[in-house]
Amino acid sequence: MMLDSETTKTYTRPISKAWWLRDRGHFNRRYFMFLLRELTSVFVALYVVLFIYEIFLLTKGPDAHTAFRESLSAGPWIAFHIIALLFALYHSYTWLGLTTKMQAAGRGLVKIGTKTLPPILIALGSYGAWIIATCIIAYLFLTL
Amino acid sequence: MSDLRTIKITVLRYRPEEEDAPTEQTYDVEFRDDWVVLDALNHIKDHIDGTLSFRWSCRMGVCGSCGMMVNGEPKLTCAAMLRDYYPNEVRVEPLVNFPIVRDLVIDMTDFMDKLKAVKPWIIREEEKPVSEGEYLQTPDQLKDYKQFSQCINCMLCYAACPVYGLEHDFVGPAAIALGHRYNLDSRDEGNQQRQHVIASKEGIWECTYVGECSVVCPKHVDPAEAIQQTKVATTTNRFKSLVMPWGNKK
Ligand code: SF4
Ligand code: FES
Repeated sequence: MMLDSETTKTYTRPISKAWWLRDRGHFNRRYFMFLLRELTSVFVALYVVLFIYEIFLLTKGPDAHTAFRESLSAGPWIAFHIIALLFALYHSYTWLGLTTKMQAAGRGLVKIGTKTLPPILIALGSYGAWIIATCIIAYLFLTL
Repeated sequence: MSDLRTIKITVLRYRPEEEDAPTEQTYDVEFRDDWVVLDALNHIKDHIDGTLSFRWSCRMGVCGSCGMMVNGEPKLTCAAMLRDYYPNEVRVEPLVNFPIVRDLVIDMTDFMDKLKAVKPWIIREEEKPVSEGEYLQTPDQLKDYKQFSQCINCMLCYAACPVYGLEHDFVGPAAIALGHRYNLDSRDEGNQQRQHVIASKEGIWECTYVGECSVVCPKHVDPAEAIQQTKVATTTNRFKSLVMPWGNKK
């Protein structure tokens, strides 16, 4: 039925601020995990700020940098890094998991000839590339 | 079978000529084991309270008009068995994220406008005369879009989408999935005409991938997937046309 919204009196329900926690009285795990994923970016951003600050300190000489590094071994900083790491892992894991979505139905985006590559291969490929890239970066950091 | 049980059905009521905000009304309904929520609503309308308004038509999951919130979840009420809720009570509300017209009836104007905007029909640059016959398609080409063509416009995905709830300009799951369905159709040449709606800020880029649309879709259309595919395709096309501006075939 098409209405004339000008003349028909309708009622619009307000959206609760806590919609991501309780969905009409029921806990919706997917809404919650979604908001958590959005939140991950805050921690990643904070980490990046910290990292840039550290690079900036390098220009102030080795002493300033070493002192800063030592201050990072305090409990709260370690806790922050662990949380940031978990969030970064969660974000990367779900983000790469999305790669299956471009394959699962219809015309998959990665094809060999006329055959659509199975989604699981795409996911494994992305996770594999992620792990390898992480290892290379870790290696460079720890050895250089 | 005479194994009647009684279930409490609470319905959100809204009578615009009498009240400014919705109220609730609870009915006791004797139901048979094979009844769905829609049967209970019809029973109420026929035997208890003729003033209750709601939409339905086919009672078999094809017409897409009986979508409502059942205990907080968007459902086709003709596919929601009462026995799955018994002995708890059942709460029926109109689909969220849409204005209520009366009782369980929502105003779907916004959805219809968005559906129209993606031009969900086959567009040809030049129509060939009927005498030249049909546009042919192979089974493989049909497979490319078949899943996305199963949509029955029930709007459950719009009720499930918090992005649409918060941002009404969002074109939304079903409309994007249907636009994508025609873009994938080998007989169609309308991709360009749909792009400014689908590949816009209010289109695919508004989606932050909650994924709930695909969970509630009764036809397994998986609109979230259509959106992700379109995001990747749009990005690669844009990239290609930057790198090879002469190679823009589509
Ligand atoms: S995509 Fe699924 S949930 Fe959305 S309108 Fe179509 S059939 Fe309904
Ligand atoms: S009445 Fe047609 S889909 Fe439920």
